[in-house]
Amino acid sequence: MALDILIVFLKAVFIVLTVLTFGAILTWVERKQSAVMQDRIGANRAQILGLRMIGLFHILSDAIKMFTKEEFTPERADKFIHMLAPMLSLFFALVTFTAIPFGNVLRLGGKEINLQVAGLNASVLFVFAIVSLGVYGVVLGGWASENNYSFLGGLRASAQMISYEVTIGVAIIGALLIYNTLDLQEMVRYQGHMYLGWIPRWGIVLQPLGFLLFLVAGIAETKRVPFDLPEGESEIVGYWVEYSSMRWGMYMFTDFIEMVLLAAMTTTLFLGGWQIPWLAADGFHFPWGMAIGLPHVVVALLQVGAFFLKVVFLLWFQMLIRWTLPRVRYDQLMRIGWRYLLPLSLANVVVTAAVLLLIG
Amino acid sequence: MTAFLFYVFAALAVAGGLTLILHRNPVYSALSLIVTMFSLAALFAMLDAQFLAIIQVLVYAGAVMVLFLFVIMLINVRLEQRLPQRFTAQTAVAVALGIILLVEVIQIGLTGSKMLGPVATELSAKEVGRVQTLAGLLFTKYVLPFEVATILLLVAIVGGIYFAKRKLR
Repeated sequence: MALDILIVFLKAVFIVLTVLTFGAILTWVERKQSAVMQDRIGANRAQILGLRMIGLFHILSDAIKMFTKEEFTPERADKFIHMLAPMLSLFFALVTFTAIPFGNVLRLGGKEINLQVAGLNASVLFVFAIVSLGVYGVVLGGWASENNYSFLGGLRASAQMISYEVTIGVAIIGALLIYNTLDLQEMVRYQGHMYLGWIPRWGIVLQPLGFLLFLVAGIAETKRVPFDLPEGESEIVGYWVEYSSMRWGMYMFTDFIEMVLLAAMTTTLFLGGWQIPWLAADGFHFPWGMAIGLPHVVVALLQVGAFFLKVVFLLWFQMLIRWTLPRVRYDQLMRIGWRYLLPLSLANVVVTAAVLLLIG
Repeated sequence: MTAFLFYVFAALAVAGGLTLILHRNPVYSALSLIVTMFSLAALFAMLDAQFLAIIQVLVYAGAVMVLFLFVIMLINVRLEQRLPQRFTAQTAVAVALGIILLVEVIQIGLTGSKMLGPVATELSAKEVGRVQTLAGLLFTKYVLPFEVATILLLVAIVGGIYFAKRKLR
């Protein structure tokens, strides 16, 4: 019993630390990747004893800066909610990761460890439930600042998030119909097979439209360019305008963690999660007859590695989008969400269900 | 452990309910209602009703309350004002219903859960809360009430759109 609790605790610590590390590195990637794309050098001044590490020390210096800056609360703000709101944002973004399977079952010393913090029966719904609570952090932050601009920013943010949550929810129904389960770990297991021996049975192959819709609506949920109207650092005043120091840092960090969440969910639902093509429980079995036997621990570690590699790829892809596309207008945002994405995702559900009914 | 968690969440639910009616700031009232709903979801989860718990958070805490909060903030209610209280028929009915509910709750508390009838079926406690079990029952045995509920929701949606459009004209 005590050992079980310890194992769950260790898994939770592992995933939280990993996600926080991803978030921290993303603050650097954001600056460096944009610099590379725009033919600049980018952040490279922070140094320790002359060592520059391609600008990686900027993560440290940013953290020190944010923790030591003045924490300002507006005079007429609602002090309690003003303090609470960014914490809510960050908390709900982090809690979702308890449901995400980052590996298969690991057998250590006769003990079977499911590499997923909470093995829920309906884990995909759990993630959506917690994500939908993330709206509170934003809308309360905008309201509590007692500033009309930040209040409007908060309303813009919640309208956008509610609108695109609908599409996200409908976009994955097609995939759920195929997988026939609401359990994320089971979904990944389903994606382990092959068609004709070489096409992986991943969600992206079975549900290409669902994948695209999920990704687009997911990027809108993370509130980043091209859907960054709630924040708009440079032109539009957003919900976090009255926040400073680490409280603002929490909001910014939430965005990066939501990026990681979107990458992890897309990987799990559409890119086969921790599956590696041709890798079975006892090693690789290639279709041309070659086989490489591997011990269990190596296979488990390879799968965990594959999961995070796919997440890194999707993070790179999101950064690419963020620094390529211009921002949409607010009416365009609503039109894209309600008049294009939602009908398309509904059509996707109908077509998928019909095809499944015909195949039987 | 389970008993301890039960008392924590039960206390949170009651505290949320009390703050909801006692606090003068409507935003705080809405937030306390969210706390209550979240605690109820935790209680459901402890009863192995995972699906119900998640739906409780997803629908009530995540969707309904966001709109509540939205409206409260949009019409910009500040502190609640004390209106001159008048004794109307509504008050009388409310008090009567409240007393009946209170008596019922006390009686159930005294006699235990015996009078609620048998709960257990052929399924084990772990099985009952599963999505598959719930969906199976909803689409076979209880398909009529389920479909009636969807029509009720559709009527509400149509009514909502009608009122929204009528104001614009």
